[in-house]
Amino acid sequence: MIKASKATYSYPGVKIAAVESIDLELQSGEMLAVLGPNGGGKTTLLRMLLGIVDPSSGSVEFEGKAASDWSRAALARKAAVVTQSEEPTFPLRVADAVLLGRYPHLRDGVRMGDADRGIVAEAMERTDIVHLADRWTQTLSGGEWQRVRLARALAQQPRLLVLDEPTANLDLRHEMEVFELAAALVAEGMAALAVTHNVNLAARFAQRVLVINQGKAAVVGPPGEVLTADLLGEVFGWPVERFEWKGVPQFIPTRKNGAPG
Amino acid sequence: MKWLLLILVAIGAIVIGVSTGPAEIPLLNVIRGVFGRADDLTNSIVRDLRMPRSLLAFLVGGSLAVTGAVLQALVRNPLAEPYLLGLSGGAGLGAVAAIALNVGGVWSVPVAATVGSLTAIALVYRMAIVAGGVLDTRVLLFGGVVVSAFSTAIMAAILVLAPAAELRNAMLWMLGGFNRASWLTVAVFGSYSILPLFILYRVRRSLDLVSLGEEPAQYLGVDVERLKRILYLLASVLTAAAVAVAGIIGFVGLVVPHGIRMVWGHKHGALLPGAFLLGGTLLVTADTLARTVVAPIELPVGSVTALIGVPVFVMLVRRWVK
Repeated sequence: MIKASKATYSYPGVKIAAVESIDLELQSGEMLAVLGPNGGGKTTLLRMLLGIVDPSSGSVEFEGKAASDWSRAALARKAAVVTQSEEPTFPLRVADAVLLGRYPHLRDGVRMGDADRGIVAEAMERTDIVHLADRWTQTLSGGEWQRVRLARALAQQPRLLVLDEPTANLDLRHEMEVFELAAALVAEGMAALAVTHNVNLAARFAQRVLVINQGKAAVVGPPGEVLTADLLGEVFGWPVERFEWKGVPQFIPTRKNGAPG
Repeated sequence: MKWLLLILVAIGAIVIGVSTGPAEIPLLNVIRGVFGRADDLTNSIVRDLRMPRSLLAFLVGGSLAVTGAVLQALVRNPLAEPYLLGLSGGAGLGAVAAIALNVGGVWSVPVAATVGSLTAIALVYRMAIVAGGVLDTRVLLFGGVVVSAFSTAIMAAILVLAPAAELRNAMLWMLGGFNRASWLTVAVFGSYSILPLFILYRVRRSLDLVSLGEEPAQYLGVDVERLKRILYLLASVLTAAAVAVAGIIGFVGLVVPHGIRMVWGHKHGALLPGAFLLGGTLLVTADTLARTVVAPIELPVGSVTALIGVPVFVMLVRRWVK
């Protein structure tokens, strides 16, 4: 679905590339987690994969066509993105905010139909926001708003779901629910790309992980094979210990100077 | 239901506008006059003077309100409107310059005004894009004020140098008013505004999405750069056409969309037509007040809209700029 070859992006006037020579491939029915420290180039990589910026060199293809050659409308019918943050200028009702996810599918002048409303209702159920339908968006908590935007993304009926720090504002239950939902969608054949700081959830839910540091791919592959304590310690600049839990690697950052806990 | 109410109120405002003036014309005679079946004097007052004037005020008010609603979505700020963002000032300068250079025909003044408003919005926009390419709301409004002040200063200089006979006329124009309204100005304004209004209604869904922010809008299928170019151009054309026929009139684009948003929400499918009807109603009423409260002296209609608009602006600033 997505194929990047030696994809590189440098911001104008900046010598060091924000993203350098990334190779990656993502198929339907697969979740790829992109891991890495803040400012490591994850968001720039996303923007390049979704055709917002052109690669300075190398190539990025979405379904066999250069990502930047897709019209925004056609791409929005195939790929949905939940961005890190979003602040609507004018408050909306939650139900209306989710309806916006149907816009890419509406032909000009065509009204929203029962089929669209059905899709929206289902998206709201799957993200557990039905009870919020009549609330104004500006009264929502950060986590509720995140789920509303996830529902809007599902209403796009995408083949690729992109989540940029999807659980940054969520409590434990809703964090797990978002990843469980993404895993269920992937099991149904969707492709998912999740940018996250949460190494442990990525190791549990993603089939493959890409670790990028200073714009370069450190490793890419199944989490059990590529995630090591040494690698993560170096990438995040903090020592971690690895242990196995139900067959997947998990990591705990260690205390300084061997302090207890 | 709400549409019917709004349409009835709009028609009522126009009828009151036509019937009110130095010669009071009763409702029945207004209707007769419209169809040319009253006495000659009434026919003439209704058909040649007050109907084009009320209609022009309605169209200009509606267009300014729609422009305000669009600018608010575009710059994602409820305080945006053509006057406060400097578009009106730029358009006024363009128009005055064209007239001073003797190239100001009734059809060409709107073109010169468009050049002025486009230049103004480009300047304001450049100022507001601060380091990192982020549009800073406060700088945007500041830029609008600066560009307005600059335009007014240059206009004043041109006017002082202009022949005395044109001076008073031009001063009145800077303050805004419909005393030069005729079927010709209605035709001029109509031809410059109908296509922009139609296109803005066509992109109503993109306006909903762009209100969310540029990046979410892109991911929901909007070609944001293209949309922005179209919207800035159309907002400039509409403002310029309004300034060319009626002078600089502020605050209609601020007050009206805000009123519709409070009652009907923020979806542009309802907001744009609602703003057009209410904006037209407001400006017709403001014009009727302007020419009657201290008759026979006619107040500039911009003064009337400012009296309504400034308190609303203060209220909005208190609510939105924290």
